[in-house]
Amino acid sequence: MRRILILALAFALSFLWACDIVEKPYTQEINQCGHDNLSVPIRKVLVEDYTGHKCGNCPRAHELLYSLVEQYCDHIIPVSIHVGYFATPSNGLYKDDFRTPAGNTYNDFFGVDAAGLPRGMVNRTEYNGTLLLSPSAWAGAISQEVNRPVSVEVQVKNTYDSTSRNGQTTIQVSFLQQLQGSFSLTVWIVEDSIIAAQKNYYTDPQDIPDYVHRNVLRKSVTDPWGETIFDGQTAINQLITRTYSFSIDTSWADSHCYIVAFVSDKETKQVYQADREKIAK
Amino acid sequence: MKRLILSMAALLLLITSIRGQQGLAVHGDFEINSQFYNPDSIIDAKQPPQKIAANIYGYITLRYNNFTAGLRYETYQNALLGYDQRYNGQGIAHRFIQYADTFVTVTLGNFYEQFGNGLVLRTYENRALGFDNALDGARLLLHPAPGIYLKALIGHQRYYWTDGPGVVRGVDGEININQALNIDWKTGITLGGSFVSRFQSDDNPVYILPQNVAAFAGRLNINRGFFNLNAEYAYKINDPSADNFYIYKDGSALYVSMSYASRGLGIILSANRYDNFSFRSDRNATGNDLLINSLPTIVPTHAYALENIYPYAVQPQGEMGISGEIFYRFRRKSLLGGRYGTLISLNFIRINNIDKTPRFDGTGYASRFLVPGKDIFYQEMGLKLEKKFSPHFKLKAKYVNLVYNKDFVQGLVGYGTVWANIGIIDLTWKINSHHALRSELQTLQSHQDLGNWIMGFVEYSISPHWYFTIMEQYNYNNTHINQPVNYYTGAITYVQGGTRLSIGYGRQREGIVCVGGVCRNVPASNGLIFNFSTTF
Repeated sequence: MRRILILALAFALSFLWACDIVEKPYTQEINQCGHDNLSVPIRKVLVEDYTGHKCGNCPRAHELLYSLVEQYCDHIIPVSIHVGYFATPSNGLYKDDFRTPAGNTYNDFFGVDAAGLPRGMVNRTEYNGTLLLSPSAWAGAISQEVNRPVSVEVQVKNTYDSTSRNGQTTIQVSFLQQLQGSFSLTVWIVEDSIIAAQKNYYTDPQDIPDYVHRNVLRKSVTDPWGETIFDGQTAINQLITRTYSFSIDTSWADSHCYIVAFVSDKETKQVYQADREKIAK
Repeated sequence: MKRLILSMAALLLLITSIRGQQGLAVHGDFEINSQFYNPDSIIDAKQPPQKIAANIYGYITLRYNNFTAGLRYETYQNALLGYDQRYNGQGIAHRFIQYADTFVTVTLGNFYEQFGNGLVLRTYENRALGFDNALDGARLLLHPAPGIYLKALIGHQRYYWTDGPGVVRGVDGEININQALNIDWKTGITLGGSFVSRFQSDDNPVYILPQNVAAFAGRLNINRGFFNLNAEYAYKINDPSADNFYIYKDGSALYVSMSYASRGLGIILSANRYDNFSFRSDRNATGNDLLINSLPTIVPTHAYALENIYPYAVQPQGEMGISGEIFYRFRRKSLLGGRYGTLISLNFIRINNIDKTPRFDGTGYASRFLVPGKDIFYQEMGLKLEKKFSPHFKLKAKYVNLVYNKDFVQGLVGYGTVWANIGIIDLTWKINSHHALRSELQTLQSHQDLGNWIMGFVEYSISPHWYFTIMEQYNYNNTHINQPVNYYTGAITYVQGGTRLSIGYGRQREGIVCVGGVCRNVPASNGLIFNFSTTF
């Protein structure tokens, strides 16, 4: 009798354990677009999507990222950084080279390619103890970052002459809290919607000649690790303004180019706040 | 650190309290794997700043009557190149206490367990792969009646020096019909079933994630005379993860193996189909981290070095394959058997992708069960011969034709598919009762990737203590390197009882080692290797 009881108990136990079957739709609206109900300035989170045109799993990561952008709008500043083996150009379809010296610097420092693509960083801040996140962890990390109060505000304003393809960007940084540390300002040029080839394991055929590459890092205007704008303890509402000149390569579509700027901690590399602005109105 | 002190204290207490008593058994092992690295620009071997790396393990168990307690100390100073550097450091990586009698076994702490063939749960340690997914929690095994076995467990999995975020819960039952019903059939039947569920909280604001992901499996084993059949089918509900890029499709896994072995004839057939079946205790984990299950491969382990240049790794996201081997032992004094008998074996393996039609509703793709996908992952055709010519000479010869999709199997782009022919001759000359010479001559010929290889290996052994080995691998017509490269190694090994000491020097080629679906990158290296192990 005792044996039968134990058997029955073990059997029953196995059914107690939950098994959550999720029905469509698999996503929920958390629409964070529009500023009306949010305090100004809003939090803007830098999402670096490390990718490569020959990385067949990467388009899935792009899809995930842009489904998040739909939900968060300008709370997210997405930048695709082509690095490592999967970004190397080769003869034929994949002749473009989207790698940049700045991207290579980040790749070497954070060991992105070695960890395997696609990977990403959200504000270069750890999430659940991990810095280099697989795409499935991005949403959680973005949620963590969006909900933190804004301590530094960054505003980008550009002027641009389309004839000479030269421009100037003025970045105003305001410290909203008293902060201690060494602060860097990094300025990038990012080109959106480049039409070029991409490998995708989830389509047939796998080589897509006219893939739309979103927000690709083209160049770092500053040093890849930025310019040190302040060292020490900031005052509340302290303002720092920097102006940089830039020029747009003739092979880039200037109407698709943005200036992305962000303030980060020089030591931990953690990003406080980011902003972006189209170079040409 | 707190854990270490607590474990040490518990162990000391245990030793002190039972010291001098009868019936105390102490067992364990101790292992050092270390290497001194030289830089070598020809093979692109790096010298880490610390120059020397070592993985050191010490394992001890104490058994007293029905109680067993054990712990394993590990130190990586730093981890050998090619091992995950997150292991760097030291501490008690594994500790447990267990009570066992004929009816019940209770384990608290770390433990290893496998349900059936491992389709839904298998935790194990493999030092060659730097792999350890031990559970840390509690386990209960019951043997309530003859032929009936029940298991229940709960715990977190090891994640380098901490535990993973997900909780693993599982139950497994197995019944041996003949023993349970006390009947004396010629056919033996064993049935089993398992259920494993992982809990991980939904931290994703956008996706609605299943917090409890369940996988279940049923298995059957039938044996009669020379015939044996082992089949298991597993199913897993929606498990969006880093592995499948957040698709909500259910997963399935089927593994069947069948064997027949009579006096001279042996036939082994196996088949599998895995569809979206990676199962981890953290949905965001990748690589070899936090795997709950281990999908069995239908590719047998290869014994020779050049066969292992292109090792197959199970593809949990989708593969289906068949494998067959037939061997015949010609009897002594028959025409082909000669004076000492001859063994001839033929084998064939083919693994393809599964059929996938993309879907854009969040389930990723649709797949027809019996239709293989058009991509070939792996194909092997082999012929093996073993013959003893005299009491002193034994010959093994092998030919393998290999098709290896390097891009798919290793997750790369630009390498494509490798076609290779491999030939192996293995000759053993037993000089007298103590001295033996074993030599291997191998070649791998391919127009792709690393090109051609020739390898020679000689091992001179003086039993039971000494082994001297020299190996040379010569790589030429490599499409990635313009010049031929020599990889040479030499080693001296001394064995006494359970102790083994080995010192070697040489160049090691870059590559990967795989067991099942778990692979480890082996970087090119040059240097002095020192290995020591002892069991007691």
